[in-house]
Amino acid sequence: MRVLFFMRSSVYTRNFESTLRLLAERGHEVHVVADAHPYFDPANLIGQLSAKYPGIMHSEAPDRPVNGWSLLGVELRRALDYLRYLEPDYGDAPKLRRRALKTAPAFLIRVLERRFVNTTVGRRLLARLIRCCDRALPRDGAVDAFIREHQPDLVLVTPLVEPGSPQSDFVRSARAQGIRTGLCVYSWDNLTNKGLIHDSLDVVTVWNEPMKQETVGLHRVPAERVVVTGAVAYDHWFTWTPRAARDAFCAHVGLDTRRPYILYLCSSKFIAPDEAPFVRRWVEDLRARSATLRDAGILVRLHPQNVKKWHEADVNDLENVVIWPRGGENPVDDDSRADYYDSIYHSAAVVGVNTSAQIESAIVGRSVYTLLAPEFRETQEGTLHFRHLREVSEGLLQVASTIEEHVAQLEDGLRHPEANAGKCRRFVEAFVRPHGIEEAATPRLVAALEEAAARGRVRPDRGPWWRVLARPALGKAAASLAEASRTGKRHLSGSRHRKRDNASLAPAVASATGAGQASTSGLFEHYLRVRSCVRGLRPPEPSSGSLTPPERRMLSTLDGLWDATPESVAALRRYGEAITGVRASDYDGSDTAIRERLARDLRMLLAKGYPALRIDEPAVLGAFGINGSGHLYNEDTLRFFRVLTLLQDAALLKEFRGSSSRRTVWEIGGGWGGFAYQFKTLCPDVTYLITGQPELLLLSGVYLSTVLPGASFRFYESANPNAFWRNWDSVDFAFLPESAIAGMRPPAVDLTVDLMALERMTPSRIGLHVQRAHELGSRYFFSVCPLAEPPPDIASPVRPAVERWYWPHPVSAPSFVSWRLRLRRETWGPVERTFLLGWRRLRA
Amino acid sequence: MKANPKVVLGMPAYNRPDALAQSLESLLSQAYTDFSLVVVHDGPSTEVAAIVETYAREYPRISYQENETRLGMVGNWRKVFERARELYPRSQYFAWVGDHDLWHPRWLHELVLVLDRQPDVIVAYAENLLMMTDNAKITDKVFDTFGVTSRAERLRLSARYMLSGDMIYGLMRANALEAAGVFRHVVTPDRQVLLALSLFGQTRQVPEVLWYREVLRVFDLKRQRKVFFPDGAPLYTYVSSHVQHCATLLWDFAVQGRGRPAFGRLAAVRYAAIQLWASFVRDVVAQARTVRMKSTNHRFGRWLWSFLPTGADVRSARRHASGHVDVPHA
Repeated sequence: MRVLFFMRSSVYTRNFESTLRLLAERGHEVHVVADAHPYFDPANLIGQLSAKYPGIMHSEAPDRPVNGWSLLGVELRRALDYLRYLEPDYGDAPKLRRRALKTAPAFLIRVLERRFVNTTVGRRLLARLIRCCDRALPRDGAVDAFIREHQPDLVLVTPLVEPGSPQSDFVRSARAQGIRTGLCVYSWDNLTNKGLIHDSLDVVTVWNEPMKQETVGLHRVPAERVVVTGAVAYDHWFTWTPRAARDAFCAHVGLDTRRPYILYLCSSKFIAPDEAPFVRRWVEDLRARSATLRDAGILVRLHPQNVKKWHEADVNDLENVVIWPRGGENPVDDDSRADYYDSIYHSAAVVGVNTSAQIESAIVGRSVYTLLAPEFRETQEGTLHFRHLREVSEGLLQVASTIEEHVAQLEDGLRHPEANAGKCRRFVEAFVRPHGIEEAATPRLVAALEEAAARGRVRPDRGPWWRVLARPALGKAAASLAEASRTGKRHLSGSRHRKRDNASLAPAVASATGAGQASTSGLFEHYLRVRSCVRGLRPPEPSSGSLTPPERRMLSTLDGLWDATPESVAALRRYGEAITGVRASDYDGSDTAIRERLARDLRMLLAKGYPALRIDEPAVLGAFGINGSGHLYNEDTLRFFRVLTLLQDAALLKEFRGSSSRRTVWEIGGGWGGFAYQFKTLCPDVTYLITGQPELLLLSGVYLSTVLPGASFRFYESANPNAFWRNWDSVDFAFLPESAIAGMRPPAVDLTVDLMALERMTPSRIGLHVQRAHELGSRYFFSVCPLAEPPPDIASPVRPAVERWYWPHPVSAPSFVSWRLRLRRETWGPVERTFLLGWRRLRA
Repeated sequence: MKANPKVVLGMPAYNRPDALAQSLESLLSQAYTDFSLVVVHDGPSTEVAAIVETYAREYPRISYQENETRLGMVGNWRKVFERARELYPRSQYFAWVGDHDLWHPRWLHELVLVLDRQPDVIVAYAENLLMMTDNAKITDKVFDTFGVTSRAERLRLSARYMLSGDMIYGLMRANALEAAGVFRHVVTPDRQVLLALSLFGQTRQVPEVLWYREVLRVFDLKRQRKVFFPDGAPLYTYVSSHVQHCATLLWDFAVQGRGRPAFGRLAAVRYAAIQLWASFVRDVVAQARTVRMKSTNHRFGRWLWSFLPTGADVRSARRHASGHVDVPHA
């Protein structure tokens, strides 16, 4: 048998190593077509295999010039992929929907906006039409020639289900030549997390029965073509034995040999983009709550494709906690595999969020635990494949909803390490080795492929008869795309952007965070903790002399916060009215004017094309607003969204979102914490410094510690001021009273933000803030409010003070957005004049 | 002052003391610091000299010179480049910068990154915000020839689509610029330089607004003749600019053979013909676009045009064309 096996890249060889070996050993010729991926496949596994087995050959994918048909095909299939995520099956998977939206073609978004299209029937009809167009596209001549040249009996592909399914071209060319085709499903999440199977295949190999149901139900593959083989990727796990003895291994990695250790297995970037803070908090919680766990060592093993975020992580201050290997390791060679196996084998228990490594741990027989964390809600319960871990044969995971439950489970697990062996075995029997735990999957997969190839050639499928009629119309679109791929014009007209806007509205993603489900007593604990830290910052005598009347009014409203009840903390968000003037009662449903205005403002903001910058109001602490398409928002939410889009327009956010080094943002005042929450959500690698009156620090501190429970907080202590600035990079939010501004000395300040806080101050205090920002090297100063002629109740103009130290700088907002949106509630003055972005003057 | 900075920025200045300080500060605030700034003022000016020297005292990377007599815009742009090569002959990259524009602190960093990583790219430039007297707007055009290995195709694409007014302020490989010839005495000389450069390498646009460009007036050929040629415009400048550019390409590369060893004289004739044809097609298409704009005033016209791909379609296609590689993650 001659097999032509197309893989997306050489990384994909990893899960089919045993398959390739067995095919070669049985005398078959296998030609693997995969582009090299030196970063994730440094060992060049396919190169090694082809060196060892004469029957295995390897080459890169055929050189294919970009052509319009190919581009159009991908766009059409991306459209179908996106439509899939709008189905009810994905109603609880907002993150998957958002990811799909990123690759959805623009034309689809525009069409979905039309009346009646975005309904179940409309989407089905639309999908059918798109599928017809896709089927009518001509094949790629280069691929035809490549396959003809190799004359295979069977063409295999993996993973096939990428967005837009570029590998469809291979399948279609093979079918047009009458060659049997097959998909070897790469991993257990592929069928639910990625795109659709768009083509007819002769055989689809899956690991187990639940995946077969997904293939039939979600991808419409006839059941008789789906073969359950077991997980070939894990066959070798059943034969491995530990390389090192436990003591030697513990000593090697730096763990205490006398104590048991828990292995924490990190997840991929999509599942857990920033896992380090969570792990630190998890370790601290374990040790604070349990004497048994306090003694246990902890080994953190990084996900090989999610290492970057850990570069800065430091656990040296945590006793008997080790990150190993420090730079992550992909287990593709003997040494790295042995290390990986040993780390699971010698552990007393395994913990993780949602990763394949949990299945591997079950094969080894270790109990696997997980904590349903609010920050990972969308990638645990919000993914379909996580359900396999929980539900197949009563599940593999010991799931805990609270840290207390998790601690109790782990204590029990450490005391009785073998207690869950039966649970693991049942899961493995159902999910990994469905034909019996002793029966390897690889021979079954190879047999399925041999059987498919043995059926001989099929009738060539060259596409529908009417394809020639459809092609002239499609050809125009293809030619336009080809030309556009090289040159093009960005249209910023309002009408087109309105369409973009609704693109972002399309996925009805629920905004409630895990924090929103926290109990009232839990919220009150946050409050008490923050209050004890902030109370010491109150001046002994109220120094109302330096405060302006607007400030005194605001602070008197917030005064009740010092003695808040659990009920008032549960409605904490309503204190925001004293600061921004946005009232919860405005959103009780009776005022349609505000609803219409905000809906219009939101459309305009989304039209700017930065839907990813939109952060909803967390459904917590008495949140209020308009609940549209699953998004909760109010005037404050939009105002902060507006500020973020302005910073994006000014090309500043990139520095804070994608920087390799930690940045510091200083927000003057801090408000109720809403902007800090949005900014920090978008730019996690930032130390966010808030200065202001203690009442404001208390409000924003409680709010932020509730909505971002995993973040690290630091409060200024006048008795030990130097400690405030130590290990600055490990702090997420730092709170400093305004009285200490003159002596503040952060390592650097990159951006200073004033959201209507300065305007309430006296001129001397405004000057002090702006001057300090300049002295500390803050390169940018963003201020909302700097009207040249403020109304009488506003204390003083901010603009002259800022302009003394900073150059006013234009922001590249399209004018149609600038003019219509308001940053302030009041209506005076053109909008551009209600904010100011300053660049630091070199010669002030 | 570093003896051999990697980048030299050349500022041809002319009587803008009102904007000069802010322009200089935005250049001196660049995150990328391995550069020198050469300022040449086209004529004597005590005010401009005072501003530049104030900064030069603190920042030795600035050098300043005044022309004794006015050279005109073309002459001064050439002078700046010559001065830059004279002071820093071993610098790798060069960019012209205006005396009234502003740059984002990451501007130079991003452009240097492109040239460092992509040896085939010889011009890198950023998107810009046009600052006009009454408002500001983003230029909404995309153009680059990144990945196009055929000289003829690069030239055709450049002649059809390039944004010469933006690209001429991009960062260029100094040796390529020397080979292509710096600012000829023709109208729209920026376009001519960039056409010639397209024969030597690719262009890449950084898709971020990192340059804030002051525009006080729209393009005007009559004014260009006046500003470029202070002693009076030669007669040939009244011929179509495409013909002038074609003639310079023929002279430089077909007659003088300056394209060798990269390409020979015969090939140069072909390139000059391609340039001429593609440039005229560009003009015809521009006229057609005007018709289209007018037709969209009607509802039927808008409906008709809605079937053509939009900017979002284009971006999506570009994303695909850029060869995004996915890796398994579970």
